[in-house]
Amino acid sequence: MATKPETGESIRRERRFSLKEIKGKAFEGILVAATLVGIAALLVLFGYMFFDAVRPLTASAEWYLLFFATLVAPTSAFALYSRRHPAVRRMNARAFAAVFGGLAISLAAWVVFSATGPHGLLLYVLLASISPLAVAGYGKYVERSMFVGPAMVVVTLVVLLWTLGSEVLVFALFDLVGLLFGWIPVLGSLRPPVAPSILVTAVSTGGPTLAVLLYLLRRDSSRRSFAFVPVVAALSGLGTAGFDFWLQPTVDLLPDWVAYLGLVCLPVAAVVAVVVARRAAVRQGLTAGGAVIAGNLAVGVIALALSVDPSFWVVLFSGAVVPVGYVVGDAVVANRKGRVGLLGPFVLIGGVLFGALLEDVINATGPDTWITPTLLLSTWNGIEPTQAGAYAEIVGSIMIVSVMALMSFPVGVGAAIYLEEYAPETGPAGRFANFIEINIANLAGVPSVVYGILGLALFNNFLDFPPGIVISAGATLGLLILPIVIVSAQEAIRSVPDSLRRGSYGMGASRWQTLRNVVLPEAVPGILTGTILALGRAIGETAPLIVIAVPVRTSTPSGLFDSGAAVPLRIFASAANAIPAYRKGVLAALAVVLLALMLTMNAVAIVLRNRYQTDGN
Amino acid sequence: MSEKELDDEPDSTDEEAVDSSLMGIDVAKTTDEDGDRIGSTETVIETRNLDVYYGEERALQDVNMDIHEREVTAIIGPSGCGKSTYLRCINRMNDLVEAANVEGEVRFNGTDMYGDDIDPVALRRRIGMVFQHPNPFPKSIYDNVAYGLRVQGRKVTDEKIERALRDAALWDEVKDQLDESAMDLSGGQQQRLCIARAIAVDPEVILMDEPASALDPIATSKIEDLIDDLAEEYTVVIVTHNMQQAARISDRTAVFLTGGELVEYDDTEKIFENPDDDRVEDYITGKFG
Ligand SMILES: Nc1ncnc2c1ncn2[C@@H]1O[C@H](COP(=O)(O)OP(=O)(O)OP(=O)(O)O)[C@@H](O)[C@H]1O
Ligand SMILES: [Mg+2]
Repeated sequence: MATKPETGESIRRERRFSLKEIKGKAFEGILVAATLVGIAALLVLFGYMFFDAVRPLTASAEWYLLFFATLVAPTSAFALYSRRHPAVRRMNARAFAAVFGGLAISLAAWVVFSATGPHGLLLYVLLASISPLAVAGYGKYVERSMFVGPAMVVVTLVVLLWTLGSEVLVFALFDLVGLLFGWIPVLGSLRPPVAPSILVTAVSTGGPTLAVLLYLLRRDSSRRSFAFVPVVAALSGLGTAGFDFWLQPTVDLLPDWVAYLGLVCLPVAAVVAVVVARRAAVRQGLTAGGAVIAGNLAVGVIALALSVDPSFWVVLFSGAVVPVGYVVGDAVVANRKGRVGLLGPFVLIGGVLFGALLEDVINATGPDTWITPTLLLSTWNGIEPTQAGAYAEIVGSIMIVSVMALMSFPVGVGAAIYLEEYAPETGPAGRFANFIEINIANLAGVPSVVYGILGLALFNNFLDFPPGIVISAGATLGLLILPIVIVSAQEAIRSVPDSLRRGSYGMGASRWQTLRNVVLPEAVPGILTGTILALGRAIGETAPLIVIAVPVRTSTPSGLFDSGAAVPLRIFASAANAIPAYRKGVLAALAVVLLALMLTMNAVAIVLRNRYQTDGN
Repeated sequence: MSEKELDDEPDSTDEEAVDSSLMGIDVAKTTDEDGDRIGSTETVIETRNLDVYYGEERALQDVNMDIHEREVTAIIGPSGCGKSTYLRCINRMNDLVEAANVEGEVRFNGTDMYGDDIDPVALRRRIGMVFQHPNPFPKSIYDNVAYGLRVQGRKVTDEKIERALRDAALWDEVKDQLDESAMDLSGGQQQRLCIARAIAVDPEVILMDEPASALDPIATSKIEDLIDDLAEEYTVVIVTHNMQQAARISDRTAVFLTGGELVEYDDTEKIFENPDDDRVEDYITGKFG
């Protein structure tokens, strides 16, 4: 009772603007200003670049009207409509992911494969897929499923390392012998008594045989199991000989488009078959896989009949048409709601096409943009800006990014898994692991030019690779983003609650099973996001590429061991071009291309992440 | 036995309860009319001179305890006295805690389970565990129950899944949504799912660490009924803070007190009506702890 008047007063504001209040408002104002300045600076920057690259002011008013009527209005109407209906929106998102993800992936694949040629890659795909398929078949036969996954991975790696490695290994051994004993007069002049190819065969047959023999001897196995030794010898001998004398020549003789069928269509068909079989039944899966193959063959035959090279169309069909077909087929068969959403991408594409058609009819002048087919598809021209193209650079960048991803993803995720799940926490070993962990985090901040020096020392100087080849560029950038990949993967793994791990162990799962079934599925979205953001970061790196002497060239790299090319390098090199149109327009357009590459990768990351998240929950 | 059951007396243990002299709790009888024990007298788990250290800190002191087949054994005691630690020793979950150091002997069906030749993963397949907080995997309900069978390389059949869910008194609530995510279930349903997951692999022993601590009274009573039923087939060891619960559902009760000491271990009736140790009486009547 006594305190009532006081409390009644203290909750009422004394004056309209007290000092306290003003201070609070001022602080808030400063924060808002900081945010606005940041956003405005970025907007101006990108806007300016975009303005230079696209030159929107050069278009006529009719063109804008047309643009609005055929593209902006229908797509926004559709977007507004689908926002209201969640089912439609979900369908729309799937359709967009299928159409544009498929397009992006198949174009990237095409660009890389056509630069390197399909035959060599096909050989490795064949080689690497035979043994895991055999393992899977055996697993089905004995009706055990737990060992199949890991065994498939291990077998694939062993086969790949073995085939890649046996040659490299044998020759390196010779070099080593020469290095160690070459100074001894007699030995130095000795040549291996047989041709290297025979030696390679001998090693790749003898290795597995000896391994099996030693294993059996150490296990004190029964007499009968020694029958394995000749079997292994015969199999690996046949395998090696078959590879050298039959598989390789046969594959090399295949027409390009058939090689593409094997390289792209078969894996896609297999994936579709497995996915459909999981969701429906084996029979449907086989039908779907068969349909994919039949479609590809049809595309090939039609193209041949029109006397066009079917290679590109086959890749496009497998990469883009098949995913779209899958999404549409799934929506129709499962009778899902919101099927109108599937139209989304086609409204967009149709708008573009229709607009382009009308543009000619009503003679509207579009913007005199620098982003043209020439820019994307032809080679560089340093004298005539309208003729300048960066096809080689775009291909080079995609190849470098692929190498980078292939190198940094497995290594980084592997390291993160080890550090989070296996590394000891206590004792000297634990302290060591801790020390490493801290240093990895520090490495994420090391300037990129330092990684360039690292690449220079490792690849150009020590390994004596030719300067600036694709693989050393990819590997150098891979090293650059490795710490980021490790740290973000670690974070993703750490965010999986311990209670889930305990639950899994409590069910009698081993560490590997827990990791495979509980931890990784939960961590995958985070791992992917972190990795792809890092890749996007690295695609624009210039300094390390200059340091390892990646050339500024006009022809596409023909393989991993050819010298590389990269969009940022071209931008860097042409910034000094005396003709102003380059500085004003072409380079801005190239920067937009670079951003588009990066955004495509981010979009893929987002799609993958969303997929995993909806699967998980 | 069978003749006895034909008498017009009510069912021997479940309904008939005796007023406890200590605090008016219902205590289930542990013996039937003949004075025979209801469970079996076979010991499944024996612990001998068990000490557990976390670094320097001692969490269990010289614990000797026999857990009997097809009985419900309750473990009670104040917070931090080592109940969870003891439970984790029984299925070697302490292996996962790097700081933990286990000394002494734990025997499972007569075999030393900390021996060099013991595979803790195989051991955990026979001793299931349900945790204090429901921790279903973010997978479908079906996959949750099938998880144990899958990781153990055993065949998954719809019948096995249904039986486990029925045993866990969850079947009727989820039978139409087996493909939906387990994360959408209520807390109580999730906990019963975790129990279903644990019994789907037919373990010999089920360890439960305060399985009902996050649940409302109705869900709790469902889980208690469930534990009663489980005891017909499985050996159950349950940690609980709820005295009434321990009294209602267990056949034997172990009382740990601060410092990780097993103060008294006896028939539940005895512990709740007439404990030997004064500290146990104080703890049960709420004078301390
Ligand atoms: N992982 C660990 N690391 C270090 N000390 C631990 C760890 N787990 C438990 N302890 C210690 O061991 C002792 C016993 O812990 P325990 O979790 O077994 O208690 P509890 O009886 O289950 O308690 P509660 O009823 O609160 O769950 C406590 O003093 C605790 O601090
Ligand atoms: Mg506890």
